[in-house]
Amino acid sequence: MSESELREALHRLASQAAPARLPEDLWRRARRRHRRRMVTAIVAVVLAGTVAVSLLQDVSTSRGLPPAAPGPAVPATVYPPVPGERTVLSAPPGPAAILVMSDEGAFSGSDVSWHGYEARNLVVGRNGRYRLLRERYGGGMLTLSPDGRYVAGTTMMEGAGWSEGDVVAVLDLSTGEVRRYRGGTPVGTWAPDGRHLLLWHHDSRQLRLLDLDSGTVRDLMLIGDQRMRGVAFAPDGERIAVQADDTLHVIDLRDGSQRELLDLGTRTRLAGVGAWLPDNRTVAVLDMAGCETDCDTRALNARVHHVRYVDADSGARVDGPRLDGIVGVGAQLLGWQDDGDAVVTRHDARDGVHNGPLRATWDGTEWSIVRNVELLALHPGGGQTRLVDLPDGALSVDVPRDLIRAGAFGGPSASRVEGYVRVALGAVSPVLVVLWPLLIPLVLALIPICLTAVTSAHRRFRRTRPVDPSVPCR
Amino acid sequence: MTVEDAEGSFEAYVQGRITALSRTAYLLTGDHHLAQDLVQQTLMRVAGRWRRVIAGGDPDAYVRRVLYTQHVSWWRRHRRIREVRVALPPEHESPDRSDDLAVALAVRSALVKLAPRQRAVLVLRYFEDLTEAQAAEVLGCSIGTVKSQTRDALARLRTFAPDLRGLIDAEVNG
Repeated sequence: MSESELREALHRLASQAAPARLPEDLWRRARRRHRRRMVTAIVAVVLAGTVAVSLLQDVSTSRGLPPAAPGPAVPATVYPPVPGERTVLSAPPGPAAILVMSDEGAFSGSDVSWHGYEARNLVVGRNGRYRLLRERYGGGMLTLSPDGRYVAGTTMMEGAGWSEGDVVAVLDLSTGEVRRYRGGTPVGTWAPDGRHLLLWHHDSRQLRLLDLDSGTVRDLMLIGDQRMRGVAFAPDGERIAVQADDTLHVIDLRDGSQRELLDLGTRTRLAGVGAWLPDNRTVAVLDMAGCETDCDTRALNARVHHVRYVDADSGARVDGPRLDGIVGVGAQLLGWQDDGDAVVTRHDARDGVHNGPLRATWDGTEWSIVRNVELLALHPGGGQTRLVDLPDGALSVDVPRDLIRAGAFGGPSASRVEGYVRVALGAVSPVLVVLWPLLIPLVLALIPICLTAVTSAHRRFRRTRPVDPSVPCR
Repeated sequence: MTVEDAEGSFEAYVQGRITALSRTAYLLTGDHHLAQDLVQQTLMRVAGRWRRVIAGGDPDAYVRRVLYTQHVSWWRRHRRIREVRVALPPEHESPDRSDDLAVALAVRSALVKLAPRQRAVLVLRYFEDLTEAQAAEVLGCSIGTVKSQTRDALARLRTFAPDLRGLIDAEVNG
């Protein structure tokens, strides 16, 4: 048998086939089926999205928080919040592993502006829970206590009860309670014991120390008309370094004394809240090399910040760990790991930023000019490592002092699937800001429609399924 | 194009192609009833998006692809029933026992024992006279897969229908 014979056999066989009989309303049925499928597909996508979001939102409450996992606590990757993300008030996450701060417009999609809280920050608990911490406006003025349990901020914070004046709000991440203290606004520095906060009292122009247990405040230093540019607690909690204008001061809490240490000049400043080295005798400063005045974005981002050291007793420049320069518009030293690495933030400037001579003293981490932030470990002797991949829109970041000291970075992140969903939903969040309040009732309305469609499809399938007479009925 | 125009165009297409589609479906399924179901399902699916189908030009390629993919997926769904049907005696068996008819019947009974993709490649290659590349496009697979499926199909035909050994040997050796 040849190929042509096989062809002939197939054609002969095919000629036995009678033309298929088609229903007269085939066109209408087909169109109806097509429309039904389209609706079903849309409903399925909406439902799948809703289920995915629901799965991402844990069911934990303040009564049943899962324990923090042992090992590194700060996740290697922080994803953006999803629409409908719970807040620190509605479902407290417990002590934080990291706080990622943003401003208006970023991390949105979870609520709408008529709540009155335009800025959204993200707290990731040590148990991996994501929670929103909302503020009326962004500002990057939130700071975590050394154990990660508390957040200090202004009364812009949700739940703090907005009020003008010198008030600091302290949020307990384990209970969701917010306590207000009069006496000043926070300057972003906790005492190592976690029970004292540094405040700035506008009316008296004083730097103050707040005792959280008693609520009492104590004047530390008259700043006067100078601009306070940095404050750092020594690890032993006995001394405080303060930069007012270009002068570095040291306050001794044991006897209440304070003295000028040295004039830093316009290009040098206190390195940040983690400026004191673990030896309690040395203070790190940042020498800035690069464009100082009249700089565009490119020139600002090309700045290099070199870590240098000052003896806290004599004010003399001293040697210390040799670290890479930090490239960016600004940098902050958050603390030191026990292995000697310095944990720093590095900031890039927004496009279109241009500073004039009046702003020559920028520290480069100001909200209004920053586009993004990066959290790095600088290794003694050179080299650096990015500690956390932060989501778009992150402008500032804080990590509890105890986790910095332990070097507890590189911890487990959200699952890959959750990460994809978070990133995807983050990308469409501007649309969801508007749609989210409408989607929930829509989904609820579509569930019975969906169930009806599935039931009728199943019934139709049973009715039209070919029946083989040789198959016995069951 | 309005909905009415699309409907008219679809009906004209069906009128012109129903016989050819039915024949292909019969070769694929080996059963008149199943062939009718397959054609109906295919046209239902095609009609739903007819305007887009004809916007791309000749609808034949798309309809053929739907027919074959429907056949494969449909076969998977109804495998249990189909397997029972295979055991039934050939339908429409004519009392005419001429050689041609005997070969056709042998091919038919061998075809229904092949896997659906193997059956599809034989129909595409030897009934519809498509090239390997065209068959690969219809089935959504590579040319290599079409080649191997054809070779395997012919080898299985040899097992199921020893009378066709000459053809198969020629093909395999070629």
